[in-house]
Amino acid sequence: MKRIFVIKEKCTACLNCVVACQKSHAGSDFYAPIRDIEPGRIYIQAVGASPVPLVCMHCEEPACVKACITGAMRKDPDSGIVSNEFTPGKCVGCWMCVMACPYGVISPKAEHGKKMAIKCDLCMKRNGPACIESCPTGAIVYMEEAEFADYKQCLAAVNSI
Amino acid sequence: MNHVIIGNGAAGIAAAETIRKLDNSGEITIITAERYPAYSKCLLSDYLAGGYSDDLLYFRDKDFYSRNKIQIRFKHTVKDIDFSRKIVIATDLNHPGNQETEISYERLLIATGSKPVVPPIKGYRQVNPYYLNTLDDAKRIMKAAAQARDVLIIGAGFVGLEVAFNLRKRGLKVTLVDKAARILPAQLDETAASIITKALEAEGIRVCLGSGVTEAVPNRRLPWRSDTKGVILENGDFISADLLVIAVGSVPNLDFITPGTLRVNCGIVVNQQLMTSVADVYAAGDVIEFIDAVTGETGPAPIWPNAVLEGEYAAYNMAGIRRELDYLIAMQNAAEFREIPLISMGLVNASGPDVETFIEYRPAGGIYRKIIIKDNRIIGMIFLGDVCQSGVIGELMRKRIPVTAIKDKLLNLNFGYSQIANDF
Repeated sequence: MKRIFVIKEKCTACLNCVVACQKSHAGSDFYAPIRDIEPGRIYIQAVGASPVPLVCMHCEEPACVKACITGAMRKDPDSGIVSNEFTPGKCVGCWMCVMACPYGVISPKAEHGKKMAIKCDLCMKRNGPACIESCPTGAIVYMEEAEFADYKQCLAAVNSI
Repeated sequence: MNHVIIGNGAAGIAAAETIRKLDNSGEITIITAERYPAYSKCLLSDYLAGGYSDDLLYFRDKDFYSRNKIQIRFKHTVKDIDFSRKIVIATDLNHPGNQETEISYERLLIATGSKPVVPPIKGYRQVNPYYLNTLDDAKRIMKAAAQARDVLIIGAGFVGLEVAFNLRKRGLKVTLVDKAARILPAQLDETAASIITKALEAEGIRVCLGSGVTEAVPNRRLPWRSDTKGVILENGDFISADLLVIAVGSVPNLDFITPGTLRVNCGIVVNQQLMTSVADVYAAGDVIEFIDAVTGETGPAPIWPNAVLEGEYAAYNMAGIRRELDYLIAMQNAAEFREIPLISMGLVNASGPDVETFIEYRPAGGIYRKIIIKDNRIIGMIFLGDVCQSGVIGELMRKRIPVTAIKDKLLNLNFGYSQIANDF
């Protein structure tokens, strides 16, 4: 499956990806009213003095799916996407997946009393992930595993010149 | 291969699904005393608030059994298992006269879950108390709640608390009683418990702690309320109620096992392949006991994610693929009470000279986070108010990763997986 890969050396922590993610999932171009409601689904974490983007890896054996008590969280057999949005209304916000995810990339969201766990869905309702389009440095890319391995090799080759 | 699974809950369904993934042609039969498709017991307390359809409780699609070629036998209560003949003897309640039926297996999984503890207290039977374990139990409570005004809940554990909140949402007068001095004594410490207790009280729930129940009193025959029953507490107080719910814990559900046939301790004893002491018989879920990652000791680990993992591992081994489960965290819970999210894992009250405790408490923000470290490993955590990153801490616990080098960073606001990852 195609998923998001990170080339951390290129990240400058501009947070464009986070904003694009929030806007895309809130379905709004106005940031101020949504920024406190819609958690970003991609995270920029500081490791020492360097930023590192972190986002769901859509695991082969997702701990969040195993922990889900309602059957809301699923790994789609066709696309490989792990999401609780294939099953509208099922997620009750019990936070079992938040507790189970070893990467800490699932966030609680509450809006008008409705609770829901929020995670990267690879922008499945959109044509490709919004974060990728907004990244000005190419620190995050959307590729197949093999494609990314080749890409990393190319980058290493270029850097060694 | 003919696989038979007793139990239609988290472990049984995870096992059936996994076996089907590994073995497309084998026979899979699920035997259950229930009359509903697989439903989530964790949601039953939410269901009590009303306005919840049965469909929401079902954690698999409608076509789950047919799509996975699973033969499901509803309303079959298992009476006995003849391990030498490899036969499950069940009573089929679908037929009038409750016909006895025999189901033979080549590989058997026992995933019968747990059942509520019935406390040995004088007079309990006469007051007709309710327990919350099955969907039918929930429906019975709902029916009684429709007629009730005063509810008394005995037991301030997770189930008791959730039942209290949800029945309160229906506008009932709710009293919560426990003999422990604070709520959730094993899952919270004093600070966290007082935050949640305040939330209970703010919701209008009366909380009576530190005094157990000595006696249940059936109808008091008061002239103005002949239906009033209640309990007498150790401190002499009488609390009246017209609906009594008991939630004082659960024990493995293994009544149908003839003593001496299968090794049983607190729960069914299994090895790391989830095999019981009898050949070709496996067990998973609340009915077993397993090794705790924190204490290293064996005991029940009755929580959904554990049941699913155990069901999956059992399934691999049943299908002939050796897989060993190393250990689990027995005590782990996620909940939310009155918009306060809460995650608790491991030994949250550990103390002693070799124990280090890290706390972040921001009362104004409603945030309380605590991590307990012993021998270079995290052995307990409470995340209250802000549960983000609890999974990362949980993984450090589950994998028993040494944390001395990063212990000061664990409660930092910007702590995350990137800081412990070496695969970038």
